[in-house]
Amino acid sequence: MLRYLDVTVVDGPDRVALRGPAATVPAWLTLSRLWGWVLLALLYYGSARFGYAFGFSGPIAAIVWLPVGVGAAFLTIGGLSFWPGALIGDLLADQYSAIPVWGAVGQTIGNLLEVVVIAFVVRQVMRRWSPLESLRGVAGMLAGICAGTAVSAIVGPLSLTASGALSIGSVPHVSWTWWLGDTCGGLLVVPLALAWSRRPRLQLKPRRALEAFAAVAVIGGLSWIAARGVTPAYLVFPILAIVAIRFGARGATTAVFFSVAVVVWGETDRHGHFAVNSFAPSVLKTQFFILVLAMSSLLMTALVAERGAALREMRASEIRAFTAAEAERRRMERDLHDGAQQRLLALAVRLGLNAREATTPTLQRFFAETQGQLRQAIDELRDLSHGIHPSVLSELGLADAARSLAGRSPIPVTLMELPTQPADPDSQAAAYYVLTETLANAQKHSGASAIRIRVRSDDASLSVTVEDNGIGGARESVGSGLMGTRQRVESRGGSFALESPSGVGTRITAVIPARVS
Amino acid sequence: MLVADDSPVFLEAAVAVVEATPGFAVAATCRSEARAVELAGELRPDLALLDESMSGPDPSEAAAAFAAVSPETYVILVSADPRPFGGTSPLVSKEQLSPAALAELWGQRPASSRECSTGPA
Repeated sequence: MLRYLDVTVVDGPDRVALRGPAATVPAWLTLSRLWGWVLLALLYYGSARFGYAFGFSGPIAAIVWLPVGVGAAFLTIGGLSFWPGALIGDLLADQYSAIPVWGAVGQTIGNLLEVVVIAFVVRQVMRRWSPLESLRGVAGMLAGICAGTAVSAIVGPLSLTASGALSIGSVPHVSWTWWLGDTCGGLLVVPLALAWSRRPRLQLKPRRALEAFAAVAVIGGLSWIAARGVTPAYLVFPILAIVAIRFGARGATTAVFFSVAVVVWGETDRHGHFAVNSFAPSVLKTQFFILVLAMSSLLMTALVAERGAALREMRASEIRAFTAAEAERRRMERDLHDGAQQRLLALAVRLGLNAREATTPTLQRFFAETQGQLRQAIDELRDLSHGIHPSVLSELGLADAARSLAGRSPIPVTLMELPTQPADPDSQAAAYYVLTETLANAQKHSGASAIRIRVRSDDASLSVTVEDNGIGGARESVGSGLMGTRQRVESRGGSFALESPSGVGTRITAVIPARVS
Repeated sequence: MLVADDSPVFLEAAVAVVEATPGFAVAATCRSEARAVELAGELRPDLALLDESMSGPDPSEAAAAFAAVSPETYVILVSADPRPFGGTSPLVSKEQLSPAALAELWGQRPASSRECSTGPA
């Protein structure tokens, strides 16, 4: 290895010669890319044969033309450079026995342009928005699919006309059906593939799996009886909406695909195989059903996803706002402690020094009164700064801080239980906050004559219970102390419960995750 | 003696109290615990008046740091907040700081550090 390196470094021409053979194979033509072409060609050809075999595709048009979805999805996820795979697949799939070769080649060019246009547009859309989980992304994807299929629906019939397989008069009609069938194929497969190509991997707990199974059974059953003409096809809509809400993009796209598969299977079973020019009204009805089903489900999924994202963002910004307010409180407490409080203490000390020199009774009384008032101001300031942030906790611990709160309450407070070991400062601060807020709430609104407090610590949590014998009927209105308390507890991953039956009293229970030392 | 407090306003007041106490004299002042320990090592004062909020959660650590550089220095902690204990050192609340309180705490120092009888320099 080292010797080889020496030779190539020392001997310039040799190095060039060594690299020579590799340079004849273009960089874009790698083994994995070749396999990609083969894979795409097989998938494309396979989906076309599948359509012919089950009779929902004909040589010219189809109820659902799956290859467009397969090709567009592959190019969207893998990259546009895989286009030769779609070309090979389409050339293989052409039914040369039914249409002239040149017409088939023209049709193939149209089909290739179709998948490339869809993949290009969807990839552009995906650079800015999620194609399934935002309304803009869904709109962009729908636009890409409709535009791409329009290219094929124009190029295909025209080239067939040019080769003599179609009369010019039938072009508008064939184009229309062509477009519908291709759009159905794109709408069914592209979102499905995009939904399943992303991480995370599927994880279904038994309950969810049961729910999914029930949804599959109901959708299958409803689609089947609809396809038999017993009930209208739209009965499946509410179930698909529920699936979109409960299972997101993967569930919704899969459910639509499944429902359509059952309906189309039933249709072809009832009306016979789809063939050239068999444009029965029921085919058009099925195509519209597929379009409406797929589009509604995609929009519903995007709405649900956007709602979820908005909720998460709101919750995150609530926590950010709360954290910012908390930091501001601490800063104010520190400022009070280091600024005004020190100044007042210094004043008290200086006053004490000079009080000794007061000789007249008037002057002595003046000093005594001033010192008394100053002491009161210091106490009030200390209370204030402790109320802003409970630094009293770090000095006294939660148990003593709770005793001090109880001692200051105008309504008699009974301390039923207090923690014996200290917990981590953050959970203690949250517990103290719960105590101050609920006590303040009880004092302001409950009309109670007694309050009972219980603070219990175990290995993993601090639980705080505050109950009063007041009028009850307390509610967590927006911006209220109780709602702020819930937010504070829940932002730490805890739980908060409020029971306040009218006329009986109020009980709040907060459980805060804690590390007890 | 040495006076240390991170609040300049209170530091001045504390110096005034020391100067007003007969037999006591301020040798140096500073605004951090680290500097206080450094000065104690250089000046070997008889007494250090130390603001407890400058030090960490355990005031005993501050006393130990002083003992290491200057064993003869007697440490008195002053506190702005009501605090249950000052570790191994005597503690006086800032509002209570007066010449009388200072002299009394000085009088209570353990016998081992009683070498000069009049007052700390």
